[in-house]
Amino acid sequence: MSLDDTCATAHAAHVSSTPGLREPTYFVLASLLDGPLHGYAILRRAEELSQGTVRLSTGTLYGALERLTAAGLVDPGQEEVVEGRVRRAYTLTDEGRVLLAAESARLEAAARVVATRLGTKKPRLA
Amino acid sequence: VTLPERVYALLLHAYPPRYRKSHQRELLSTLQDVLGAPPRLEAREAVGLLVGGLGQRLSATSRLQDRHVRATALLVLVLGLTSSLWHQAQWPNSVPAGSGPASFAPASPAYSHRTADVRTAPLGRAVALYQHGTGVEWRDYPQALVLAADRTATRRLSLALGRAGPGAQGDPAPMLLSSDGRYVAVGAYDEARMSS
Repeated sequence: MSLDDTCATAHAAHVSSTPGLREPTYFVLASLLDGPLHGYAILRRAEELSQGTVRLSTGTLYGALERLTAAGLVDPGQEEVVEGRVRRAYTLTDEGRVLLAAESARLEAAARVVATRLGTKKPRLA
Repeated sequence: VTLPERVYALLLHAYPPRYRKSHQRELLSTLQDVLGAPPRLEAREAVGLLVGGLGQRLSATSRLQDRHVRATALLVLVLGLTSSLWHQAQWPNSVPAGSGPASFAPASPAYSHRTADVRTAPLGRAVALYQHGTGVEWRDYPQALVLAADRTATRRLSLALGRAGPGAQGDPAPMLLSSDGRYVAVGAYDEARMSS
């Protein structure tokens, strides 16, 4: 286990009490992989990436962002006004990226365990 | 200010003041995007705000771990919110009208959802017409109020409130009470001029 993995595990424990990341948290982090996004864009991207399963309310999203910020996984930028809307762009930190990589590896391994026993040749993530 | 806006604005009080100060404008922008215009009332969003706000309060005050302590704290918060909303709707004591030097109510009634419209609940002669509060942000509720001559009752002036334009940031339209206290005149904002 590398130092990065240890670091990621520690953060995972901090963010959620279960061994892995909860699905909404996972997709909120994943929505930031391609670059910083503001709140509304995160909602839409997370829904899109999860194929409609993660539909967060505004209150839930901001609760998650607050926890992720406290855990050092996302970095909230400065407030700015864009087209009459007050925005803040959230960036995935290096730690967040490491955690996400560890989590996707864990999910992939977990999926493979089942897929090989089912005789499926190509394991697919749900 | 529409009803859904009022409901969401009330629910935002579930968040601790410190969080509101740093995040409210951003949160409202996102909420407005989600809801579209004009904002609809959605149970999902309403519950999300309430739970999110209470969660924020819990994590802000202390990192409570014990489930029972959390449940109790939640109950206390809900009761507190309910009572503060109720309190907000109460009338301050009115000053009895009488002879002697001219006086004014020491505290003019504040915003209340329960204030009836003067059109549907006539007041008789009025001694004052005033705007309570200013509208700057979404959660602020300016209200145009008419105070009865005997200072025992107040009515809202929905006509002026209905003409509150976005350019005026929610302030009621300009209004004037006639000297005999029987009539009000209500103007209208010229949006085209205000936005320039």
